[in-house]
Amino acid sequence: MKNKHIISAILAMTILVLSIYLLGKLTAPKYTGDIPEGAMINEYYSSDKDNDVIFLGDCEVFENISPMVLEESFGIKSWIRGSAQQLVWQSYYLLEETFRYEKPEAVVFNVNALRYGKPVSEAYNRMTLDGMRFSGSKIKAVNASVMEEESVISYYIPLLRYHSRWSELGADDLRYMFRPYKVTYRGYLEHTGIVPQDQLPTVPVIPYDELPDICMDYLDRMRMLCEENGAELVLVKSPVEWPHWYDEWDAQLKSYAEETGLCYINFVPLASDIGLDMKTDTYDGGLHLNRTGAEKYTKYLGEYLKGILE
Amino acid sequence: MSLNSFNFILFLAAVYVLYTVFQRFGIKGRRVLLLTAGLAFYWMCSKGFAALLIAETVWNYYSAQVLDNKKSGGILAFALALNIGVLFFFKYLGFFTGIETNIAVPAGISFFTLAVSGYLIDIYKGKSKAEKNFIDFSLFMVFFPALTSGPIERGDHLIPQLKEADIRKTADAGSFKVGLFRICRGFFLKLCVADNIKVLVDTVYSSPDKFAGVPVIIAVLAYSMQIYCDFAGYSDIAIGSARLFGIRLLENFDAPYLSRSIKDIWRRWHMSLSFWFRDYLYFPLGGSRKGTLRAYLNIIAVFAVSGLWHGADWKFIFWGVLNGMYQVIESIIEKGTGTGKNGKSGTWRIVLNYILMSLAWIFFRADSMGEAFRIISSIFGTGSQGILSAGAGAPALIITAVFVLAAAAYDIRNRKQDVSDTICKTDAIWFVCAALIILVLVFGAYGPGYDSADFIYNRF
Repeated sequence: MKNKHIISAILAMTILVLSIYLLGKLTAPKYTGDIPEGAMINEYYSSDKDNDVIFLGDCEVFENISPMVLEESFGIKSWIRGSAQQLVWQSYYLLEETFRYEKPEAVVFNVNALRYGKPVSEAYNRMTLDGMRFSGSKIKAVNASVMEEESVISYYIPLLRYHSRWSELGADDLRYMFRPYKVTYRGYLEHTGIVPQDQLPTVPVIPYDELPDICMDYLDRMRMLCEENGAELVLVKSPVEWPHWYDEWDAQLKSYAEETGLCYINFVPLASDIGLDMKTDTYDGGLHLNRTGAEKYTKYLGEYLKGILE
Repeated sequence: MSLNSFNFILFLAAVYVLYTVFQRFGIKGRRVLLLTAGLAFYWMCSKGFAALLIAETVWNYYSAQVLDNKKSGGILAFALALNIGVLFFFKYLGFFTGIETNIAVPAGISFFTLAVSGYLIDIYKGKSKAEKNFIDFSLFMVFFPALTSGPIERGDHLIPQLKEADIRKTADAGSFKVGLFRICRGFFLKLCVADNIKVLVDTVYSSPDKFAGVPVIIAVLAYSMQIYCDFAGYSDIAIGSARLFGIRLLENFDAPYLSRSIKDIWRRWHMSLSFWFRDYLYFPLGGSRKGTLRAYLNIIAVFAVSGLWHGADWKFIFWGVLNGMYQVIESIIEKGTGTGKNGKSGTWRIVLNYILMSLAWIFFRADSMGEAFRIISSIFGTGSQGILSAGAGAPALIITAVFVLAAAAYDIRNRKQDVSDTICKTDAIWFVCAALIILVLVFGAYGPGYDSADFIYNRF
């Protein structure tokens, strides 16, 4: 009789846990609409995880660099673990996780995100962290990223965050419940449209002369992590003029790279060498490159990477 | 820390695990554990006032001892004046003096002031003895499930149970099941019913002119259900939490809206408060023993004080007086038509009572008397917006309506037979609790996008 009670309790508990898991999968956003960026991080897990180069950073990597061009032109196999407004500590923990799966020869980090010393919005956090598989790296990334008004536990039990979507569930939520919606080619999000870059806004006064300490600290941890795992860390600044990359920050990174022996390339002044024509190579007025722009930049970057890998 | 928060669940689970470990291994000091938990809980709810609660505990302990030795009206008056004086200072000073005070009100002060005042009166009347053990008395004051919003306990009901806390040798599986079920039901009533209705009610009450007409009528009727499910939900969580430790708190609700008279509604609504006012105010005023007119005046006076207890605002006093008037008019009609205790009354009375209660709740819910009259006048107007634009959309309204019907069905069934008792005797309880948790997690109004709602009665 007592056993029957225990079995019933365990069965009910199992049903409860399973339901919470399945309902979390069902209600979590699938990013099949206008904002596909939230689906990117998860795509990595179903890849072959055998890359020469791993790219990390924000939209300046996943929209401006094409792994397809890199492989076709240079034979370099790569994957972009980028996401919208990816913060440097998120890049660090994604890298920590990546090294558990594979040992790339080089890691390319786009430095634009170093300007953000604190999380910007929950939406951006979600688009990076929700896609990560449960691991120690995810726990650390969540703890480092979560904002005051957010609930930490909802990053592990998505139903707590997305339960109110029950009234807007659609066919895609069922279709992509277990199979992630595929939006990129090896982490590259392609845009083919053209919206020419006109006059850029006036450059605002530099918000702070030096990049935030926390960002530089994580960058240094990234350097050491790469050293431990035998990978070369390359710092790049994508060749787009907006948002403005200040000379003071550029100088700070140059000095850091010299001190630590890293390779840092600011591609902004090299835009004409690359052959970029911002009348035709951008899809959003100069913030990001379109496919032709990404191909040009990737071919130029590929030469550097080829040299590093050799 | 509100009882509907995730932090409270963690806190309760931690105290329960420790309590069970103490129980399993026969470790003494379980009352001290509950006392420590109560103080810690109060610290988390109202940290600046923990010292005040301790001070009230100490002086009321000694007042009770003195009163037990010498049944002096002066001592009782002094002890009550001290308790009510503190309540007055924090809650009513601004209202009665007209001075803007901006004093923070200690959590639960309205509740523990009444509980301890009733305890002192009982000792004075010789109905019960003063508790000699300071730990047991302190635990009566700070037993955490009932600390912030009741139920308003009686010393002779709670203290004997608390004294047994160290005697119970084994974990009581029956109590655990009932406790768990009541907690799950409480969360369901609060998050799935009350807080979903809140979205609609808040929207309409904030712009009654836009929603004038049918939407306002729906919101007014819906608020009656919101406040019921809010406070019944709170009471379920409090009673359920106490049951985990084998303690039975007083019940607060017994399907009040199914009553066939206003008088009966108030016997079944917030029972621990209603009975407190009956025993410690209505009866001392003479009750119904001094003639009909005096009885009617007593009812109105008691309800006015009850209104004032809910808040220092004329709208609460008006709400109380209105409910008192309802009862007086009802008594007069019943006497005139012979539909009193033994008379027949149809189901239509349930509907009529619900409408009357809803009208009174307008004054309780509105921000001021002026706003309340604005709501009433907008019932007769025509607004530009429909009810669907007031809530979280049609699906949310439909599911909330289904939950309201489920809650009503439970109450109807519960009047014939104690549902929780029946369910908890079978293994179905585990599956019922699992289902309630799933419903709460999916359909509950919590998280971003919802204005996280504290229990309405936490404000009193």
